[in-house]
Amino acid sequence: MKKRMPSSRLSLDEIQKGYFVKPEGDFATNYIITQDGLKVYRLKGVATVMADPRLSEDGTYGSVFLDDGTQSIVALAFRENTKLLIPIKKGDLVQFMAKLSEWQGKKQLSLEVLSLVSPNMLTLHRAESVLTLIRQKKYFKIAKKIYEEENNVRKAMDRAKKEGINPDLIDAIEELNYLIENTEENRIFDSDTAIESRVMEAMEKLDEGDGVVLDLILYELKDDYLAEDIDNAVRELLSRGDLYEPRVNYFKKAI
Amino acid sequence: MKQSFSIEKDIREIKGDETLVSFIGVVVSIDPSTYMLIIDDGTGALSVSSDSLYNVEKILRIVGSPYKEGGQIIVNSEIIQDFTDFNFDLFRKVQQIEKEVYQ
Repeated sequence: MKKRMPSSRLSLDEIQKGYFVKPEGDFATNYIITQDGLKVYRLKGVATVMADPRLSEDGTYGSVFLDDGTQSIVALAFRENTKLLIPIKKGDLVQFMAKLSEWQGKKQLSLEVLSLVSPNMLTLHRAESVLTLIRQKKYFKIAKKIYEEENNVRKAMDRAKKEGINPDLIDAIEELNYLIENTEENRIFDSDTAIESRVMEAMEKLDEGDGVVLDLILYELKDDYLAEDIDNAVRELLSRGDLYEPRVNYFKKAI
Repeated sequence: MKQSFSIEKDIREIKGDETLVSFIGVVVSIDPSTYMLIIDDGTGALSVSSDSLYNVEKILRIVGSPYKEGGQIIVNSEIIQDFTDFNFDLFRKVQQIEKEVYQ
């Protein structure tokens, strides 16, 4: 039986600054490794719903845009989990538990639990998140010292174990070094952000007050981007609340 | 590109040129004719435009876009959350720890 990975409480900023890892193997669970070497398989958080959730017409998937005051993220719900989105509306304070995924270089959540919470849960979440971070930073610093002094992963892991430090942290340091080296180039130019930026510019130029029909946005950017990529960028902006749809297939800037 | 998340700030830190900010404070006065609320978070006070009127002394969390008008900073609210029964003092203590850890 597959082991259920536990959740970690962290801010969205720590998640967005981390590296997404999709391990090899059909049943391996995706995770995000934070800059302090914490592997997050499931995220637990408290955030504000920034726009009314969107549900597909057939009800098989939906999305909601969440903001915890440190960063924001799109949370998706599939199949039976779409019912989690039904009672939720813009402005609600929610607690969520979710698996982590990445699509076109952007981190996303796949919701498992979503519920309305009282304002004091925000304080509890923030206190637990900062406690997780303090502990992680402390152990990561010790593990890094061992790793640098031993200069050999196997020896470093053995020494970490003897000193009461989780040897997986040594493994995490190796993994982080590899990820930092191999993902920096990809971070220099974020093509998704560029398309979204062009869509927003086009919206400003084309909107005469009633919103802009999707076909007009596609036509405006046809020389630079594929229709599918533009459509995806519009959906992303919509799910983040940067755009809204005053009537079917017409879009307007939210602010 | 527009920043896509709200930055939590003390009211005294808000300059008026941010895209989206959030803060928690107490309603200290209201203007029913303009739907303007004055919110005080203990570090300062500013005007918040609102779609609804709230009672004085109510604790609210505001997410909105600040702007300057006649030397005054006004926040155009995007979201107003009712934080009645919120333990503001405890939250301030947690914020203080966060500042020490995250900086």
